[in-house]
Amino acid sequence: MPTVHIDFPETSELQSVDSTDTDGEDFNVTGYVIRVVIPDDEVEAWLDLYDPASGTSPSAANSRIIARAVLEALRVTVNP
Amino acid sequence: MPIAPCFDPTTGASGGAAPAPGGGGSGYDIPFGDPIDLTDGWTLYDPDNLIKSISYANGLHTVIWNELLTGSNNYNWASGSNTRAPRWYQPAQIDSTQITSDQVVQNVFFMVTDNAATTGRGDFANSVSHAMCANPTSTVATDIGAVGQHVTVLPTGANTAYFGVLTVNSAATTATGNPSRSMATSQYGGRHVGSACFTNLDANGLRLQNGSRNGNTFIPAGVDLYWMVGLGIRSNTTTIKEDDQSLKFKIYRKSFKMNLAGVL
Repeated sequence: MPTVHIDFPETSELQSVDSTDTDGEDFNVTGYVIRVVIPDDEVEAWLDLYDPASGTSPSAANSRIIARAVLEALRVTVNP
Repeated sequence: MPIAPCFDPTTGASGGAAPAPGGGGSGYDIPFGDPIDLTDGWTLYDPDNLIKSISYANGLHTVIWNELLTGSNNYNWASGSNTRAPRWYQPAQIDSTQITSDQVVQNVFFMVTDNAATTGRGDFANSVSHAMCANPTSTVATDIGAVGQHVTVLPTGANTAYFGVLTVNSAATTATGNPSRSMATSQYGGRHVGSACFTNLDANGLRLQNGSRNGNTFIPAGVDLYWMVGLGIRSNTTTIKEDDQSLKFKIYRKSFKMNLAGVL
């Protein structure tokens, strides 16, 4: 099962970000910036798990790997 | 604005103090000099004629706008692929030498804003970007390639100025501590727009907040670089009434190009 890492020391304090989503949508949001690091040797494994045309991919178990890493970083940032 | 060279404090020779044994060398308490005056030696590029007037007094710029009936990301420096917002620019020359995109330059930007509701922050949600860029008369954000200091304001409300950095067509800013001054540094060039970082300061020069952002845009080889000051709307839906005023701001800059010969 592939892994991810959170570059936790780089997690920002609350800031306003003007930028563009992957789908090209502009956004202006005040929030926390959490950097997710995908190991280079696991990129292929992650992409194999993902089908952008399928709303059920990746599987719940694989999705939780990223979701829990991001949410744990958020939890520790907001409630240290 | 002229760039003052660093001199050896002992001998007066140019190039700064002699390096200490074992290498190194630095500049201490380098002055920013006089504030930049956009009405003197700068060229305005305003493709949609949004600027009605600019005045400069006591270091502060006051800008009056023409009407913008429909907001668009074209007028928001931190959004979208096209940028038609007005900008002042001048060739990036250090000690009378034009800097090109093949070189790597450190730019230190400083901005002070008048955060008084409406009279200082202006009549509409607006922004000021103080940056280095590759093509100031383009309307394509990645061709302009602006990276530097960025501030946005709402005309009223508790939060005053959101200071931070602009990287091409995105930005990271914060109003934590309600700053009215900020210093940002960009390392720009080497055929890339580079990265920028900032520290927002209180009146004693102590940090209120800091942050950084990376650019991800390559720039052409061997082109002349420019300094620019771009004004725009804070969000893509902001409109402007005839004779509206934007944020009053005072800006400084100091730039350095290190000599890489012999260290590569």
